[in-house]
Formats: sequence, structure tokens, C-alpha cells
Amino acid sequence: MLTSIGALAGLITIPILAVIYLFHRRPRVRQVSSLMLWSLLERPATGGTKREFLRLPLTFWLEAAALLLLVIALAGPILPRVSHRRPLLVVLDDSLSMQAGSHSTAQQRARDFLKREVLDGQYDPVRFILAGETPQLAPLDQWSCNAPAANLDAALAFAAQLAGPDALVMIVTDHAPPRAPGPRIRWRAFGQPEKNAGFIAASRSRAGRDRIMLGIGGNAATELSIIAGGKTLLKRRIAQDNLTIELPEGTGVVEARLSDDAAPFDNRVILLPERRPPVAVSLDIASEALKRDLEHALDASGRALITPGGSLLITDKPGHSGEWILELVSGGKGTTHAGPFLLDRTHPLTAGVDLDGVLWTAPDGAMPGTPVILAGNRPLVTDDARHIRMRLDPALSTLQRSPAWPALIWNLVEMRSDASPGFHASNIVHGAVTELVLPPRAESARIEPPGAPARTMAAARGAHTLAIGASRPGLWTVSAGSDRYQFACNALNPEESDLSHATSGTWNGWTESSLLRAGFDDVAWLFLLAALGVLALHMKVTSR
Amino acid sequence: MPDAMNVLQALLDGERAGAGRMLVPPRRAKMVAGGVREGRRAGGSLEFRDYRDYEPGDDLRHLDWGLFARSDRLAVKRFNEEVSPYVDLILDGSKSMAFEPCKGEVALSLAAMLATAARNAGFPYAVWMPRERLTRVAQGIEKPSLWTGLDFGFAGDPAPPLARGASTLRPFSIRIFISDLLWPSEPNHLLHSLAANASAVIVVELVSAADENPEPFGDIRLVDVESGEEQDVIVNGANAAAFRGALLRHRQSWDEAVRECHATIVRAVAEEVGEDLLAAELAKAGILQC
Repeated sequence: MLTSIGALAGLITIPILAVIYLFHRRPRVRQVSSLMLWSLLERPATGGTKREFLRLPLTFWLEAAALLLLVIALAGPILPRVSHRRPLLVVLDDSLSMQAGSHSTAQQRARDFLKREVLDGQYDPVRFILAGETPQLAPLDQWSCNAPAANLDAALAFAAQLAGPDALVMIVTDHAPPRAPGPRIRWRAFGQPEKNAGFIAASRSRAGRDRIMLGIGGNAATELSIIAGGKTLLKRRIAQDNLTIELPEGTGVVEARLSDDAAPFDNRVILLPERRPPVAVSLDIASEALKRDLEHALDASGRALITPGGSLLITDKPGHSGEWILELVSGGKGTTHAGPFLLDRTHPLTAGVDLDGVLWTAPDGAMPGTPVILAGNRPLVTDDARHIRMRLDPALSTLQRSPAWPALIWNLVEMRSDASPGFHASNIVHGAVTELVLPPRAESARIEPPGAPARTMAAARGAHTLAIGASRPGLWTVSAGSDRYQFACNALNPEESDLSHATSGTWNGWTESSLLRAGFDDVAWLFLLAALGVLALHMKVTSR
Repeated sequence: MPDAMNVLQALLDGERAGAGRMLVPPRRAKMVAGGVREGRRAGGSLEFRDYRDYEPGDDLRHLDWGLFARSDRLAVKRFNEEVSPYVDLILDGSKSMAFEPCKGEVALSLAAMLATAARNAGFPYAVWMPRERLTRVAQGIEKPSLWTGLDFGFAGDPAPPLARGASTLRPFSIRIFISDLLWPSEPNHLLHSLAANASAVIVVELVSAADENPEPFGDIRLVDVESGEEQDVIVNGANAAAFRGALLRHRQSWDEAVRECHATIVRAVAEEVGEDLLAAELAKAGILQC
């Protein structure tokens, strides 16, 4: 069977070849002793009234055969597969919106369709690709629709890599295609446009008064409930809105709920307290003025507790060793720098630090560690495995009077806080990756996702952190050593909550040609091979 | 004549090949009395053969008077007849003999070999080439390497001038004709002319491999090397077979004419002729003694 009728137009080349042979044939010239024996033979027909068979040399027939074979190869000849079944790749929208539906969800309708019309034996093999944020091959029963979003383009590219450009692909989702599907893609949507209200933003304050900020989107009125410690703190009818709610002192886990609607996944958020324990800072400072400046900066951070034996030591006395020490080196002859200062902006200590207009007098001498702040080629601040050294003569510097000073101290306290065991953030968005700092001597953690079996995750060799992808909304619990940590994962995606564009239908890109190609094998190579053989024979004949 | 053909080298090769050989007259050759060969008939040589009774009219000088004195019988002494073979070597000088170097060189070498063999046998010879008329090759009675004017430039049928000029050849000579025989006129007339008044006629048909086998296959424009006439043919298996059939019929007509004239024909393909230059074939035909 030939799939490209247009390519068959190439057959016109064969009569053209015949015409060339007949009218522009240039016979090879050969001298002979005598024509007497040749004159008895029949001559090539050149005209007349007597009908004769067309006499053309072998080379013509070989060239015509090669042309014919090439034209057939170009026309894309195909033969039916032995199994008479077409392979199919089904891309399944794995996003939360597939869980939406008043009576039945889009996922349920899609499953019914797949069982009825895809898994009935007409396709073989059928493979499924879960289209979440990153596509992955999985059996149908692992289709849970818990991904924060569906990257269908990435899944299509993955399908093309798996099965080649001729494979049939079916996309199962809940919305219409953004553009007409390609020739081998059939787009099936099982969504229904529905009214829905859902949380599209939720956060809890880290500092100051304990507050929660909620954003509610959608096209339906709903009832909001705020529950904490078993008590309902708030319950009221609400439409699309953003609101901030102050929480009583000591409020623990807060749950915000909306009344049931078509999409259950966006009707509930959990917000854990974001406040982290203050960093215990020890000051061992000989200079009273400097000590005062440090205390002011630490107080201003609101994150530090000055206490002996703290986890962060700030000192101007040499001889301390270990991690989390800020050693202020002063005394001796120094040089005053007015800039420009070079800051390593990749180091967390320099976040938001601006040294413009600062006079920094630094005693001369070398300092170990990686430079973090330099004046020319002279390091002013170095980091030697979290032993931070700052060369500063406070009496001859204006750094302590500049906005850079509290910023530096705040950054230092935050660095120490971030290195403490636990999560950096207690409330994260569905699909985000959060980092857990393991407690000392712990190398793995037991992770209990909501509604899924627990699993153990080990840190990479030499690492003290674990990166955990929040793949399911809900409250996650992580145990490491004797410590236990929690974080809340909330589905906050306005596009997934917006069901107004959900629809059902079929956008059939499977053309006759793509269906044929999927059920047949391309045998053009056979004809190309035969054409090569004929051309080789032609070469042999003409070289004699 | 093509530049690629080395005439002198071909003649020297023929001389070398004929050095140890002698030409012998064919058994039915008619000889000229007074030659150097012993004839079958009684003749005028000094070699005694036998006696016969005197018959009136016999030359009294041949009476053996001694025998008459001893036996009172008149007898006449008979002596062996002496024959003197003469060789006319006729070399086809048409263009077709030399447009392929191999064919022309072999023809020259063959002529030189036969001339040398004749010389070894004590036969005088002359070399001829038929052009517009039958022409003697300059110094053609000398040893081959001295022959001059060997020109293969005749663009025509050699049969008519040869037939016309046959009468100029030495009576009772052994006539050896070397040619490819590729011309359309019937062979009978030519052979009868050659055989008339000749002691023997030997035809050496020398063709090239291309004359026998039409190659290559395909669409070919044939050009007659002598007339320049052109003919387009499609050489394929069927036409090649038809060509070989025509060649066979042509040769059959020559065989028939050769038989009629009591001549001898020897055939060779130039590319297949070895260093002995058909010595074995010529010896088998009774022409050459190795």
C-alpha cells in the first residue's frame, strides 16, 4: 500500500527517461573491420509504418527500474503489521483538576472511556504517561491526579522520544487543546465547566503578630471556616476575596475550609506556625562600644536571644575555633577603605548589604577562609567553614552606624537559624520542594505523606539535608533521629481551581495517514535497497 | 597506419620465429622444372634415377653406351627432375588489417616468419600487397627486416585488385595470402584467380577478437574503418548470436571455395596467436616444417 499519492507523480520521470533515450540517445562509437556481417542484422527502428516493439537498451530498462523503485520508496510503501494492532501512547493529565466534578470526576469518566475504547484490544501495546510537572511512564492504576499541574507539552515530547514520530498518541485531560492537535495526536477531554471556589493563596506570618493571609478565588460563593485546636475561630459566607485573620497568641495548627463544591482539593488549607525558635547568641566582646552595637543589631533582628553558651558566638578575642563563630579582628595598624567594596553575592551573609558610603578601617594582615567582602584585593570578611572573620577597627569605621551593620548581623543570625535542624518553611505550595536540615548524626528520615504510605529517604553522602518534593496536599510528617518535624502542603493553583474552562470533547488529529502508518510497517527501505541493487547492476553493465 | 603499430619489431619477431623452420610445398603443389627440389617425375637433374629402354626419338646423348657394350641393350639413363618452388606472399594491405595494432603486427610477423621459413628452405619469394592494384613490396625479396613500404592504408575491397593481379604472380608459385577476408565479394572468383597457374594456394585468415565477438553490449554506432560508413545497432544477446551466425556462414563460403580450388586455409585470432606464430597450425596443414 502506498501512502503518498503525490509521490507517485514521480512516475512521470519514466516516460521522460524513455523520451530522452529515444530522441537524445548517443550510442557509443566503435570502429569495426567491416559492416558486412552487421548489415544482415535488424536495425533499430527509426520510423515507418510498420509497427514494431520499442527497442531500447538494457541500460534504459535498468534506469527505468531504478526510477520506479525510488518513486515507490518515496511514496512511502507500507505493509500491515503482523499483529494488525496499533501501538498507542496515552498521556494522562495527572493534575488536581481531573479530580473535579459534581457527580463524577473527570478522571472517573476518562477511566471508563479508556477501559471501554482503548483497552479493548484494538491497540497493542498501550502505554500510559502521567503528565505531571515531569512526565513519567506508569501503569493506569497509578494515575492519582495529585500533580500540581500537568505539563502536557513535556509529556508529548516524552511520548515522541519513546515511540518515535509515527506513534499514535492520545491525550486524556479535562480541557480543550490550546491549538489544533498534530496529525498523530487525538485529544480527549472529560471535564465539565462548573462553579467552584477555592483557596488560591495561603500563608502565615513569620514575625510580629500571628496572622494568616488567605486568598479565595473562583466563581462561586462559599462558606469559610477557620478552625484551630478544635475550635472554630471564624465561619462566614464569602465570595472571591483576600483576607487576613489575626490569630490568638499560642495558636498551633490552623485549618481553613471552604464548603464542598466540584473541586475538593482546593477547599482546605493547613497552616502551621512559621515562627522558629530564636537563635541563642553568645557575646564575648572586650570593647564595650562594639558590644553595644552588636546587642542593638541582634535585638533589631528579633531572631536572636543573647545568652551565654549560645549556638552562635560573636567575639573579638582570638583563639576560638569551630563553627558558627563571628570573630572580629581589630587592633594594630590598619587601613581605611572608602570603597569600592566587592561582595560575594552568592554568600548568604551579603544579602541586602549595601556598603556605599561606609568607611571601613581594617587592621593589616592575612585571614584564612574564602573572601566574602573585599576592598580591592584586601579581604575584610572571610568564611572558613562557618568560622567567619571580620577585620574591623570599630573606632575608625562607620560600618556600625550604617544600614549594612544590622543587615550583616541579621544575615548571620538567619544563616545560623537555617542551619538548625528542621524545615526552613512550615507551609509550602503543592509541588514545591522543601529542604530538611537533619539533626546531628542523622543520615536519613522517615517521611509520611498525607494519604500515602510512609517511606524512608537517605541523605547523600556527606550531606546534612534532604530535599522533599511536596507531591500531595496535606500535612506531612518527617521523623529524623529522635526529632519529628511537620510541614503543610497546600494546593494553591488558580488555574487548577478555575473549572470554567473545563470541557468535554474529542479533537481528533489522527489522520487517515497517521492511522495507516501506526498499523503498518514502513517498507520504503526495501525499495531503496532494490534500487541500489539495480543501480549497481547498471554500473556493471555500463562499465563493460 | 596507427602509430602504435611497430612494423620493424613485428618483422623481427617474425624472423626470429621463422629462424628454425622451413617452408615445405604442399603435397599437391605443382613445381617448376629446374628447381632445387627433387620432383616425382624424371627430369633434367644430374641425379641418376633409373634406366628405360631406348625409344626412337630419344636423345642419343642419354644412351648409356657402357650398358650397351656390356649387355648389347640400348637403354636411356633417366635422371630425377629438379623443381624450384617460388613463394608469393600476399599481405592484405587494407585498413581493417591494421586499425587494431595487434592484428596488423601479427599479420606482419606471420608474413616475416613464412618468408624466413621459405628462405631457410631455399625458396625465393616475393611479397605483395593488393591496393588499387597488386603491388610488390619494396625489397620484398630480401629478408623481412629490410622490407619497406608496408602500408596498411588501402580503403577498399582487396579482392578485385588481387584477382586482377594474380596473373602477374610467378607461374607455379606457392601463393600465401594473409588477410581477415572481411569483404562482401564472393571468394570463388578470387581463389580461382589465385589458384590458376599456381603450385599451391594457402589462405591464412587472421581476425581480431573483436571481429569475432561483438562487444560491448548496448547501443552502438558501428563505423566501417575502411569506408567510414556508419550503422547503429543495439548489441544484445540475440543480435550477437545473429552476428556470429553470419560470420559462420561467411567462413563456410570460404571453406567451400578453398575446397574447390584445392587450396588450404588456416584460421587464427590475432590476440590468441602465440610466439610460435601459428607454427603448429601451419605444420599441421603441411606448409611448415618445424
